[in-house]
Formats: sequence, structure tokens, C-alpha cells
Amino acid sequence: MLRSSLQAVKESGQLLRSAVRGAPCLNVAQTRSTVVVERVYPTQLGKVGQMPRLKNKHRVYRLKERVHSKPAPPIKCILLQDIKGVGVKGSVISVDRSLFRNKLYPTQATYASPENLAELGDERVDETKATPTARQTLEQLSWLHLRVPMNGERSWTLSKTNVKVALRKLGVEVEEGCLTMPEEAITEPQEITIGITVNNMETVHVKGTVFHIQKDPGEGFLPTFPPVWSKPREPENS
Amino acid sequence: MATSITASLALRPVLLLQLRSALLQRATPTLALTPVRWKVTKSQKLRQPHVTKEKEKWVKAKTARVEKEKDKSKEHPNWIDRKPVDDVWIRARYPPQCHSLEECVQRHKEYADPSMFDNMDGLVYATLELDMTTRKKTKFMRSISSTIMLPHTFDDNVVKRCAVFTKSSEDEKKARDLGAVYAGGADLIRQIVDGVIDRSEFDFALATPDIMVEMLALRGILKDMFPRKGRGNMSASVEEMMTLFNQGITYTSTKVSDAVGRLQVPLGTLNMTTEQLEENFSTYMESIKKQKAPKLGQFVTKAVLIAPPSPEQFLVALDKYVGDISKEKSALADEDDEDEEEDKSEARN
Repeated sequence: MLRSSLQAVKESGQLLRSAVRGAPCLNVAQTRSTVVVERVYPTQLGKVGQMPRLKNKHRVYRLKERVHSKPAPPIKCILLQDIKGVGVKGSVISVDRSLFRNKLYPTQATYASPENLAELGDERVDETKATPTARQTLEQLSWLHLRVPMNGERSWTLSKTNVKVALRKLGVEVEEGCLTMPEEAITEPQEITIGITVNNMETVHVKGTVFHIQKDPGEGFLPTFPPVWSKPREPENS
Repeated sequence: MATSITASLALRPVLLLQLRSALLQRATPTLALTPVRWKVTKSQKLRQPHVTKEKEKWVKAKTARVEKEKDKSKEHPNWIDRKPVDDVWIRARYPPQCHSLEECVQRHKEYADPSMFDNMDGLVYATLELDMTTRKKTKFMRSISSTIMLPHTFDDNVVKRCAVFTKSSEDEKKARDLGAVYAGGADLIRQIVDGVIDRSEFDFALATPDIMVEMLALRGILKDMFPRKGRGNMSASVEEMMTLFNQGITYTSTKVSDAVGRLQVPLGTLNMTTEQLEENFSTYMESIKKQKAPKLGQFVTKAVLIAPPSPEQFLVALDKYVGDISKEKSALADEDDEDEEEDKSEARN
């Protein structure tokens, strides 16, 4: 008790001094620093109702863990808006604790407490489908001009496999089930529009060209295309 | 009188110039000699006019940039652990993904389909990256080489010229029937030693055990090609050797740097079934794994499947092929251990 009162006097003195100086070093925030230690030498059992008799050797401790030095675990939260690189509105996901506390709360996200989850109810989005990467992919696919190389010597009908291969050559991996082909069968080089559905949710329509290629690179010539990826320029704000 | 002339020559530069021009006129028209400026000598020093040297000789050649080996341990775990979760994804946003060999072959076949690139007769190659480090930090493995017979043979567009060395005339005849470029005994050896036949005229030297004593004369000429039982080019059966070297594949690795080797092997044509190509790949992996002691770790670090002239490349997942090999160490791995022991004993002495 004496020790704690002495400590309090010390601290108050420090506080006063800082206040007088108007110093920025005044730290009123509580620093949490729990250190868990264990005794190296075990004590003898004490009598009932009494503390065991402690000697100097009993005050030798070994460090077990520093509770607050471990990184804080991620926190589960409900997103209230679409956030780029994090998630879609209405999804319940784990985010970095510091990101949530400092940036997202309270306007962009809220705690995933039972009450909030009940309130969300039907508006909850399937997190496996509505991923932030899906959104990014959809946006990027809208900038794509697809080029489908088909054989110049043989006859063919454009199939989903052909379109899948063409997309793969341009750096986009798709499954055949995600593709929607044009209604008419394509057998000649022409402009086409392919529908790509991401996670069975949203569809983007990608414009492209089917063109002839020859095995011998000397024969024929490649037609000029628009660039593969053309991000639309953002309009300048007046 | 002559001395006075020479004296006047030394003192009268105008006359000197006239003399020079006179000499010029007399000079043959093809040479177009120009006098050396400001040099006063008895015999006029005349030399060829300056002709610009070829650019390569005086412009410093750009030194080839040595690409630093990327330190893989420093790649951020956030990047390496990224895996695609959607059914449509952009490849650039994720680290290179591994696929099973069957999946890689299937992808190549899709592009080589007659409706697209039409390359079903084309060959499929596996480009392997090898870890050439040993237990010692400053010592590295030499390039590996071997000849194997694949379970499913194919024409790999490589010219194979075999020279067979044997004493018996029957074996010589057999060799010629099977398509050997040269076949013979002591005469053939003498021809090579004398230089009548050059080493570059054949790719493989095969020999039967009876002629090995005479073959020693060729050790310096054949060097790595010298017949060795472990290599398969020294055995009693000529048919066996000829089939192995004509229908089998001989592979030799190259060195990208001291610690990294590269090996490219043909798996087959895209016409072959996926199972056949997979079996060929397993055979290669077994043969390559034998050439490094398993305790030194994984020998093949990376495998990429290509089907030229298609530009596509696919990383192969090697989990199935990099397992525990049989406990019997092969002769080649033993040789490496022997070299290490020799070095140790040398250090001790």
C-alpha cells in the first residue's frame, strides 16, 4: 500500500510538471504491458490460509510470455460499403484490426456482433462468391479487347475451348462454364462479343476479333488490333 | 654539291613541299599515298590513307548484363501465398501457378488443335532447372548426362550417328545393318588416331569389351564420348547398344551458373496420349534423380512444359515425382561421394 501510494505521488508529480511545461510528452493513454513469468524454484506448501514462506531464491523468475507483444488477431466485421481490395457491401469478413479501428469503423464497416448480424439478415452476401478480386477482375475485363487466333487453312467453328485458349494467351484464366458464346456459329474471321460470368454473379461483355493465323510465320500478315488492355481515361474534373 | 642540296633541303621547307608533291605524282594511282605531316626525313615516310575501322572494333561492346539470381527467400509471403479463389482470374495478379503434368499437356493440346495452331505433330519438351550445389559451399556438381530408353518411343528430330568398335566381323556386320555410320576394329581406331576420320563425324562411340584394350589409344580423342559400362555404350551386345542409342534419348545438362543447371528433354509428340507422355516424364525424373545423392535435397527444382513454336509455358507440379528413391545408391552418385572423400583425404595430407 505504501509502495502504490508513493507511485501515485510520483506519477501525479510527473503529470503536474508536464502540464506546467505544456509538454507533448503527456501520455494519458494506458499502456498495456502484461508479462507472464514463472518461478524457477518451486515453493514449499504454506499452511491453510497462509502464503508460502518465500526466500530470495523464490523471487527468481523465468519469462513465459509478453501478452501484449503478440500481433493483434484480425477482427470479424460487416462491411457497409464496397471497399476496393477488401470486400463487397454486406459481406462478413475478417480484416486487420488496425485497418478496422483506424479507417473502416464506423462509416464503412461495423462490428459483427450477434445483433448486427441479425439486423443484416437477408442482405448478407456470399463471401465465397462476392470476393474483392472478382470485382477487380470484372472491371479489368471491361478494358479487354480479345484476340482469337484461328487456323487460316482449315475450316472450323468457334468453340468455348478456342475462346478459353485465346483468353489464356492474353493472361486471363477462365473455366469453360463461365463463357457465353454468340448465338450464331462463327466460322469466319469477324468481330465478336463474348460474355464472361464471374462466380455466377455478374457478367461482363468482352469485345474481340477472330483472325486467321498460319503455321509458317512468313505467310500472310497479322491484322492490326486495338491494344489488348485499354483502360478508359478518367474524365478531367472541371 | 650534294651536301649543299641536302643542307638547303633542311633549311628550305618550301622546296621540301615541292619534293613531296613530286613524289606524290609519281606514286601509283591505286595507293593514294599521303605524306606524314611535319616529319622531315630523308626517305619520305608515306603511308596508307586512314580507313575507318569497322565499328565493332572501336565501339565498346556492351557487357552482357548478368542477371542477379532472385533471392527467393525474400519474396513476400503475402505474394507467394496468394491463390485464385474465383473461377475467372487475371494471371498477373497471382504468382505463377503449378499444374499437374496432365493438365499442362492438355493445355498444350488445346492450342495445337487443328482448328487453331494445328501442331499435333509437334514435340513437347520439359525444361528442368537443376540444383547443382553440394554439401560444400564452394564445390558444385558437373553437368549431368545420360542415355535412356523411354517406354513410348518417338522421333525426336535428332541425328544420331553411331561408330561401333568391335573385334568380331559378325558384330561389325550387325552394326552396319542397324545403321552405324562407322563399324570396325583396330583399323577404325587407327584411322581416328591418324586423323583420317574426325571425332566430329559421329555422335556416339559404342564398343564391345574385347576391344577395350586397343580403345585406350582413343581416350584423349573421345574424352567424354569414351565407352563406359555405366553409360551404356560398352557392352557385349551390339543390338542392345544400337537400339538404346538410336531409339533412346541422350540428354546433357548445361550450366546457367555454378549452382544452377538447365536440362531440356523431349517427352513426345502431342499426338501421343496424355498417359504415354506422363509415363515418359516419370522415366526421365527417375533417371535424373539417380544422378544426385538424395541426402543433398531435391535435384529438380522447377519443370516447365513447352510445345514450340507455341509461346505458352506451364509450370509442372513436381510433388508426385520428387519422392524417396530406392536406398541403393547408383554408380553415378557413388562417384560424386568418392570425389568428396578424395578431397577430404587430400586436405588431411
